[in-house]
Amino acid sequence: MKFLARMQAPLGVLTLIALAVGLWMVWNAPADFQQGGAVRILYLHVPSAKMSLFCYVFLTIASIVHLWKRSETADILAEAATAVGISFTGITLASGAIWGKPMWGTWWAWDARLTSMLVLLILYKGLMVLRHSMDDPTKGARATAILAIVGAVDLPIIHYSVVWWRTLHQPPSLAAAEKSGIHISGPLLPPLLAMSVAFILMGVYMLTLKARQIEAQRKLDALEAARLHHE
Amino acid sequence: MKSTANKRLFLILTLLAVIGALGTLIFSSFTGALVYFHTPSETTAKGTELNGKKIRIGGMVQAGSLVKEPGTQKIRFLVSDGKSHLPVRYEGMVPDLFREGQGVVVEGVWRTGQDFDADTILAKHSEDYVPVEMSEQGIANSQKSLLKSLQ
Repeated sequence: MKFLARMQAPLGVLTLIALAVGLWMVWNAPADFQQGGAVRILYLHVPSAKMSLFCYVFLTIASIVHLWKRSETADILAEAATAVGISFTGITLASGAIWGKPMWGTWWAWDARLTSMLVLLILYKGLMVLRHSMDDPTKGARATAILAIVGAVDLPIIHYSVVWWRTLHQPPSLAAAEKSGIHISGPLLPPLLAMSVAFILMGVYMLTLKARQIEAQRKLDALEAARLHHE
Repeated sequence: MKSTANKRLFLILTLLAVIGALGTLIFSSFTGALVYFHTPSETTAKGTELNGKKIRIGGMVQAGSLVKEPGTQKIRFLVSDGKSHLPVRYEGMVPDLFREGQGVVVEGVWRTGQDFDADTILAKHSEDYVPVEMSEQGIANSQKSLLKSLQ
């Protein structure tokens, strides 16, 4: 955690610079042949969607480490990843709705991609509630870790939803696994790469901030418990 | 502080919601309920089985098939998956991306042997993003990937 404290300020500055560069590139991105200027929502929507999944992958690993090694640090990181992940999931769903209305003609559709993403939001929220619904924080942490690992089954469903089933949502525009996997041409691509880097930095920064806050809160709670016990 | 009984109730409700959502999603992925629309070929093949049911049909708005009735918001067009096509009627506003050669998902009640009366039209686009100045190649690629995702 000491390491996180030292990393925090430089990370914050880097994030700001990356976001400024990324947004400047988005501002100067050309119009799409079909969507015109509305294509710019892509640069917010795709990076935050990737981050909501990355956060869950991180959360799953942290949960496994917590259960296996009984590591407090892993649990703190898991709790922080939940908070960061739910924010990105919210941004993804909101930006998707704002994009869907003018392009598809609807805010929402119960197709496999949108539905599985909504399940991810419910999962994140459920994990937050579960942790704080138990009187014994150790038990709460373990139950949360188990649910987090079970919930990871949603990740492949989200990722492959647009391939496995016919959906309203289009297949991935960046699919590293296949040949000719890049479907974003010419000058429309660099802003997405810049925004992705910026969002990764922002995610790590948010995680650092949240983890340190949770650690401080737990120390305070322990002090408070000790004081009450003393009286 | 909330009472212990309240806390427990809240916990049970939350767990039910999470497990219900996950369970439903996994269950639907095996039953095929996650398939958002039928193709015209499927719809034709199933025919009477779907009669009277509210369904979604997805495909491409066949080039040259779009007819607008002057002075009204009524339109007619063919929705095609490259193999077979179905006539669709609709009245109302259409999404910005709705045009010939573009993907579409229409929703309405299927009546065998009649034109499909759509009450909702959604546009479906491909995963290709192409700047306007290089659009000729882009349109070709985009149509190819669109047709693939409509099969």
